[in-house]
Amino acid sequence: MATARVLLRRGSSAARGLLPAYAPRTTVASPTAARLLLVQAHSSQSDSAAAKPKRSKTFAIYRWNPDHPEKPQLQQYEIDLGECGPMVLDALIKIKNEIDPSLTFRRSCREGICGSCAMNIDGDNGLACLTKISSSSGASTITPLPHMYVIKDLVVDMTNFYSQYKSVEPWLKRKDPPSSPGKEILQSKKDRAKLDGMYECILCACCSTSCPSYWWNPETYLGPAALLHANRWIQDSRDQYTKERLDAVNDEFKLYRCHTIMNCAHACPKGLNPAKQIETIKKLQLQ
Amino acid sequence: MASRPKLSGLQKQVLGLYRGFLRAARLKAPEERSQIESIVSVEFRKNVEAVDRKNFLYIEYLLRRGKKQLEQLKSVDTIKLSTLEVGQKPQ
Repeated sequence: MATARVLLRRGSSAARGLLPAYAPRTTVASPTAARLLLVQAHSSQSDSAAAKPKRSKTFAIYRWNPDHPEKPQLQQYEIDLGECGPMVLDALIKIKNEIDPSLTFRRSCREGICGSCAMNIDGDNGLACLTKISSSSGASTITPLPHMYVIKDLVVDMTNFYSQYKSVEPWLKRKDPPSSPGKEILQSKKDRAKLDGMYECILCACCSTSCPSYWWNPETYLGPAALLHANRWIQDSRDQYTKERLDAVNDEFKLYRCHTIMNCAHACPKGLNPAKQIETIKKLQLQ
Repeated sequence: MASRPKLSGLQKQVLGLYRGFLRAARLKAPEERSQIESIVSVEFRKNVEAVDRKNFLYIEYLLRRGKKQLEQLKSVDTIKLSTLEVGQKPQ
């Protein structure tokens, strides 16, 4: 049985906490050898023994229930950050599990690829699963995506957004059959590289809902997300309906409500730049 | 005939939705038509009593929900409408 040798280090309370348990052993087996080892049987023991300050964070979350319709409220919840994951989604799930099960929000992948948990955190649109809980002491405000109809709490009505995406016709359209029938339509690496920065869009709606121009004209202006996808299909070398796609978007409201406000590039949680793609479309319209 | 009170825009929207439901019901089979009409009229009359006239937020929410339901009803594949009561289980 190995003798436990405890190293007293900088008067740490952790070691002091351990010492009573191991004291008999050390006195019995006093080391003559020079080597001293730091032994901690359980790391959690040291944590509980030390006076660890409880880090708590307040969240002010937008609440509105259609079944009991009153005015929407910001409800405050306080959670211990030491027992919670780092992301806002972890905090929301913890609140729903332990404090208020009626809190309603969308979520799926918890890794920033599905786009379900898009919401407004401390004034900035983003994905809850990718936004770290801010370490500032003030309350964190969580509201649904701005200027969208609220169905309940943090869940918004995305049908207009999706129908705008559909109106762009986001699929490959060809006039003649592929050169080798039954096989893929070939595309060079350079042409495929043109799609980088557009295919990664997860349709979370963070960009469109951060655009003031989209707030004022949601039915007519397509919004940065739909226009990004429009450009993705315009730029695709395999697609043969480029001119028709450009003509379909070439509308005073569909495209030219964009006034390069650039909120979309700031809001995108995947780091894409819809404003740049809209600029590309506008340049192509000039030809 | 007594002069009708001037209807607000919101009231016109609600009545337009009700009219839309009745028109959609006309396109279905006769037995289903009367059932749709009864369900819709019960729902609207219930909300007239229950919802405050000034609660615009809730009325607009109900209008949006009703429009979506009307779109579903208008589809040719929809043949009937039915409701079920979700009750609280006594503890």
